[in-house]
Amino acid sequence: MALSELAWPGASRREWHAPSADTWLLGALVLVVGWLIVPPLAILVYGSVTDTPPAVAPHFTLDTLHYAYARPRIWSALWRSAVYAASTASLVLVIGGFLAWLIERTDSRLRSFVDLFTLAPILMPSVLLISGWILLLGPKSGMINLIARDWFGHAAPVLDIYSFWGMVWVGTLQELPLAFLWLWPAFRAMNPDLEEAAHVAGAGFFTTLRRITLPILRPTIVGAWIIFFIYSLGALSVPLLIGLPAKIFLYSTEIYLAYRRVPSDLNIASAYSLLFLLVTVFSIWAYRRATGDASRFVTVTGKAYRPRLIRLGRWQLASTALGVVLLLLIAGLPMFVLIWNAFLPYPQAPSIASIQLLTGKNFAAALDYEPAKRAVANSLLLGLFAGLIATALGALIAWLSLRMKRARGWIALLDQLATAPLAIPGMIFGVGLAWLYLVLPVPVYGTRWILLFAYVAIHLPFAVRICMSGLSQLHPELEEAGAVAGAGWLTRITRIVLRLAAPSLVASVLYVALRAFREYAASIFLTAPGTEVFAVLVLDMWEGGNSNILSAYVTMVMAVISVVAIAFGRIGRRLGVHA
Amino acid sequence: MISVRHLTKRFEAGSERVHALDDVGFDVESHQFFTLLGPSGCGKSTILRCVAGLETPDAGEIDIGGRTVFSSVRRINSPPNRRRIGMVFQSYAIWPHMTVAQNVSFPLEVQRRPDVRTRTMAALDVVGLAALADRYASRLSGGQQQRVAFARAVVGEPEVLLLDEPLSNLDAALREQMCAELRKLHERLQLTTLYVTHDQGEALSMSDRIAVMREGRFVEVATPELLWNAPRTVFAAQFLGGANILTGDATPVPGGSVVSTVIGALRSTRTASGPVSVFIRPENVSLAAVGEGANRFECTVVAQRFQGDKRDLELQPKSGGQVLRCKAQTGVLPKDRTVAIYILPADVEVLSQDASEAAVAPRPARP
Repeated sequence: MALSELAWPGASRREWHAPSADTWLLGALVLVVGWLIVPPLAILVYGSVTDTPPAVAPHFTLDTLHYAYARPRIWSALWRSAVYAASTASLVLVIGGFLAWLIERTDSRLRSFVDLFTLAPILMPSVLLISGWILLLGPKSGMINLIARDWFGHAAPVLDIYSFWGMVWVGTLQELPLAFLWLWPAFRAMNPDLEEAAHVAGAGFFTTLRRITLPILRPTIVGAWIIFFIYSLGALSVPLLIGLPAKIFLYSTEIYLAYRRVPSDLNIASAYSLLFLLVTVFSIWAYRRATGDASRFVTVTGKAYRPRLIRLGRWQLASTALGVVLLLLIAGLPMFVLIWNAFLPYPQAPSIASIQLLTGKNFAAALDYEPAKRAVANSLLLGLFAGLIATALGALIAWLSLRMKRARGWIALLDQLATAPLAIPGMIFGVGLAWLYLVLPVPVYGTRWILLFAYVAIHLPFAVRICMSGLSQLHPELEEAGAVAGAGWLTRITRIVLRLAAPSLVASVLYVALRAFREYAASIFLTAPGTEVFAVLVLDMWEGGNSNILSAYVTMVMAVISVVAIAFGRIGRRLGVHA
Repeated sequence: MISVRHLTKRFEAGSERVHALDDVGFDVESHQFFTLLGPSGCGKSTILRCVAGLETPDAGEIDIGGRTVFSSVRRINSPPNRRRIGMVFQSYAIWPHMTVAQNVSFPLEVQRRPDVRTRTMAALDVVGLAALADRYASRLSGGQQQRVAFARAVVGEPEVLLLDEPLSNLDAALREQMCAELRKLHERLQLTTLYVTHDQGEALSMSDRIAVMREGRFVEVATPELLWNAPRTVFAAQFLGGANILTGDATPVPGGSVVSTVIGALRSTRTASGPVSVFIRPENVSLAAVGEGANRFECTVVAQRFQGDKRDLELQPKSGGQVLRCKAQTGVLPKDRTVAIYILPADVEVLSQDASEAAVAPRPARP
């Protein structure tokens, strides 16, 4: 026996019980992901029960919590936030669901608009969408109000963005493409047999919708409503850009104001964030409850045929018009008004006179502004690295949870850690990270590192999802065939797994990079002079700048993002599998 | 060449521990074609994957070519890439990002063998795909992918070849053709082969020996001929060809025995006594003119299915008891028509009831 073991070193004893490569990997991932997610949230508790700033000896007290929640102002802000979030979530679901239904279940020509719906939020980050709508509906210099004044003689503004419903309007437009993309797969995956069986049984269109379609989609719809409720609750751009000037304070505004106050009161900000976190945890619990029994609703089948489509007939034109209007609202009009303003010295309704005023000076001014250039460079760099790191982590997490048979409990924990940020508002991460690295004796606060940590943590769920969907399409036997052929762990990963999963990995890097590029809710708590990022700079420029120079600046940035997005798309396609 | 001893593997199913493999042991001689046959979930693929090193057994020992690759007692567990095996997967697992030649040469490359190009082309020649060497593997038909998978499995001259239901994804005609081809390839390459299937036809036509499996244990191991003609267990008899099984009491008589069953007395040329099971293959139940004598029964037709060369009949003996299956060349027989059947005493196989039950009764998992 000993001889044959010598002849074949493979039959060595070291593989037995010694932790294998995947065990080490799992341990390392739990530590890294745990470190990214848990301490920034846990430190909020510490901040809430002390009244001392970071990095000094803590004084434990309940005064902070008492002070924070004794003021009626915070409760009215919370109520306003809840109404805002509920209105926004309901509106986006109704419109997004109707769109998804039109596209998946009718012969509407809107199908060809799908790519544009997906592209719109990439080219129009929320700060740009909001900027555009302020330039359209601002009471004094909004283009629509200027047109009403100059062309139709309305002295008073017809529509004022600086109102509660103005906020709901922009918030809805901002989340509409996401809501559509969230609901569309559900409509797609639903087995049309279920509806057709109802038709055959004698049910009419509306009876089928009410008795079959909606009940089957209920878990999806309820789950989506909760998610969009949390998103709207945690959004900071609309409350800051529109709410603050209009003196409409939401809960997220209060957190921001506590932080921005001089001297900054991180204790109060933490105390507010804590309640936010509780609301979020409760919402996740509700979400799990709503979608947890989803397996009861067998909606996903592997059938590839297209269901019978409802013929729209004379409604065809109306559906196309709806698509055009929505595209104009979520991208076309704001983009136009931004570009238009970029070439004007001051806001103007379009007219022959105004065309003569067109100028390139704004671009020169924007290019002269050092922080503006720095912000774009920082955002691109941070986006790229956040994309790479989040994708590397996401791919490893997805691979382990698909392939590793042991330690399933740890893998479930890792998966929950990595997907938690999906429901945690970015601003909470911002406050928590600021606290954490003010307390810890490492030189991270005020550098680009802290932003990188935030971006990786916040976008990890998306990376895990995209990598998971890519890797789950690889049959495990493809890897096993490599092992049997004699290839070691590393060879299998590099020559088989990575090559086959490349398109989804590139997609993940691109997606995270683009999202990180427009991130503002956490960044606003973490930037410092020198580490400005694009979205935060746009917020700053609204506070004290010239909206025409701002327009010129964002016009240039939109051009840059388009180029980057197209280039990445090309690379992804080139890495595609020959099929 | 392959030696498996006391192989045990348990799975957690809810709170219960289910035996996927329960103390399985067998030997495969050099150049032998050994088949694991059984219904889905019987553990046959688990054995194959344990031999390949893709699953880790809870206990037992596996030798390949005289070298221990797994032993729970001596704490040996070599990874699949060190076991010198070739394997064809159920899904073929052809890498879609590589050409046919790249797929086949991969084992040679990662094992750092010389003459990669020559050996690759030789392996492709064996399966008749040399002309498609530079084609991307994902553009091949099912049968061609199957051949690529086979070439890739044998190119490194493995000590054993493992085949995991390789024909189950092919349509019936192609399956029969590949079945014949695989047997020819086996005779030519003389590789020790472990084959897993749930199809008795494949097993019977290709194997040197067959192990019939049920619920994680071997029920019977024998040559195809013995397994077909003289199975020792009820399960094997039923799994291979759906035999009629009757239970009864045997009384020895000169030249054999008589078994009293629910349909009446059955004469057999086998000697037996006491409680037994007898089995009769449907094709050995022949339609006959009504008459008197041993093993003649009057039946009514319950159902019939036309099967091309034969007609599959379900017949209810008038003497009562259970329905018998009969395969015969005959015209249409209307339902409720009375027919007579005759069974040769030599075709009435007797299984000892005790032995057959003991072999198939599920045992509880040991703690």
